[in-house]
Amino acid sequence: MGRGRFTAALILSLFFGVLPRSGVAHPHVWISNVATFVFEGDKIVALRLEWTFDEFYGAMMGEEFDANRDRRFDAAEIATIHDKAFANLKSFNYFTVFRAGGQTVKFEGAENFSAEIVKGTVVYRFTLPLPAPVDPATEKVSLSVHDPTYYIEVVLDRVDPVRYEGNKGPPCHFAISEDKENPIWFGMVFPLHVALTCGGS
Amino acid sequence: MRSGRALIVAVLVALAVVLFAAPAAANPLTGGKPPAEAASPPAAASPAASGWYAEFWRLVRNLQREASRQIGRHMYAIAKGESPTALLVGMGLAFLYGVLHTLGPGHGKMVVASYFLAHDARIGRGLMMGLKIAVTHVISAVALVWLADITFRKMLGGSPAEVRWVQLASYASIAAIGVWMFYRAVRRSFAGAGDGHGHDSCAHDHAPAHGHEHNAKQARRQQSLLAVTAGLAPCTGALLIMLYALANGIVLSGILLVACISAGMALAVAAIGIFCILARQAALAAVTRDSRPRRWFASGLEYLGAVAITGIGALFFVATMQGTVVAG
Repeated sequence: MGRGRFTAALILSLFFGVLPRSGVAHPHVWISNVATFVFEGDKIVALRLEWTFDEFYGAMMGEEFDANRDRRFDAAEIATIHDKAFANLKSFNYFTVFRAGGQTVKFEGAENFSAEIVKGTVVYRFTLPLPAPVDPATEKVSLSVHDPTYYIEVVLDRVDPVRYEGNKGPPCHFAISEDKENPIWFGMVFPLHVALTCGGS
Repeated sequence: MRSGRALIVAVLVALAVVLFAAPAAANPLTGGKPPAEAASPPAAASPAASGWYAEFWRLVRNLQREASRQIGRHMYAIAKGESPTALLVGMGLAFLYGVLHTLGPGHGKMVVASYFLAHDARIGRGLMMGLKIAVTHVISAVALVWLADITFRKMLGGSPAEVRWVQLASYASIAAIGVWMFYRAVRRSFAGAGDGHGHDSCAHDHAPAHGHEHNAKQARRQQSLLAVTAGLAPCTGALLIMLYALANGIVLSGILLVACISAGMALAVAAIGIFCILARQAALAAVTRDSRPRRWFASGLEYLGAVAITGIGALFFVATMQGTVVAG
């Protein structure tokens, strides 16, 4: 019995060779995400994301970037945040896996970036224009926002995570699931996946 | 004991040399690159992602996330002075976080489990072990934030170097203690081989009364050493709480919350320790009444425990060194 447990503990720790790596206890930062599909007519032309950080990371950002300590970010401070704590996300495609008709979209850049201190934490807002409009009635559209390194865990806002703006086409609805096809963190974590359906299909 | 200490010193010196080669985990917001396409083949779910073990781990992780986010919200309320109950609720959450954190992946409980499966101990020792780990953990978190001057700025870019150093030192010491335990097991086997009287009383063997006492004292010292090394590396949660408290002028509340995390850890570690003490007793009782096979079994467990503790220390050490490769 004792020996069995030992062996079990050893095998588990070796087999999941990954587990000890999270001795550094990933994730370190949490983001609660609200995604808005921005339509022009009946086509999606952009994604607008609103990221609310956890209180601890928010406090960190406040200490680091609220240079004049007025508990709000002014234009200059937002510019600094953009350069130091946002611009690098371009190489991560803004953590945003947007698939249309099976293709993953590569974003050219983000627009209208803003950062705001809200209730002791920080909220990022930005827009990701799609390189080409996507018709969700004819193409299969899905969205998964996650950090592939799992340093940050992105979860969906609990109340109202997916919104639409300016949709003149058939009404859309969404379904949230775990993306079992594309696990991260050594295949241990399934990022959240939003599947969009517009019209009858 | 002296050779054990020498060993620890030697490992720490080697560690100091290696340390500077260890870069920190990267925060993708501020730096770092995504893992290369080639390095991440069309990932299949690892077998670890399904099954009860993964489900359990996922549940723990989700609960831990909720606890940590709620602690954040309550600390905001404490700092604002809005709610008189915020501190109490926060303390309850911190306790829960401590329990969950201990159940999650970590070296502490594995070390404790291995130790108590390998050595005879009274239940009280299991409780003490939990308590000692917890006290060390509080002191370490408070000291790192206050004395080592870990700032939010350092946490922002990833794991601060100081924390990694403490982690690496802790894991190396655990491995060293494992080696020392192995050495003791070898010595004991040889001493035992010359001893013909086949005492029935398990692992406290063969020696005259003063030696027995000496052994017990040594065992206690070993337990303390293990507890201190295992509790030395503070969890991120405790560090963040202290940082937040310091930044918002609620240091006392911060220390209280960290103490609650540690109390939760103590409870969980003690429970695991006591479970293993009882499991060992049951296993030994089940093996046989005959003294010789039982002694073999007991010394087998001792070897296994030493190897396991060395392995855990080494594994976590290597993993912490590599943690970086993972983060990109």
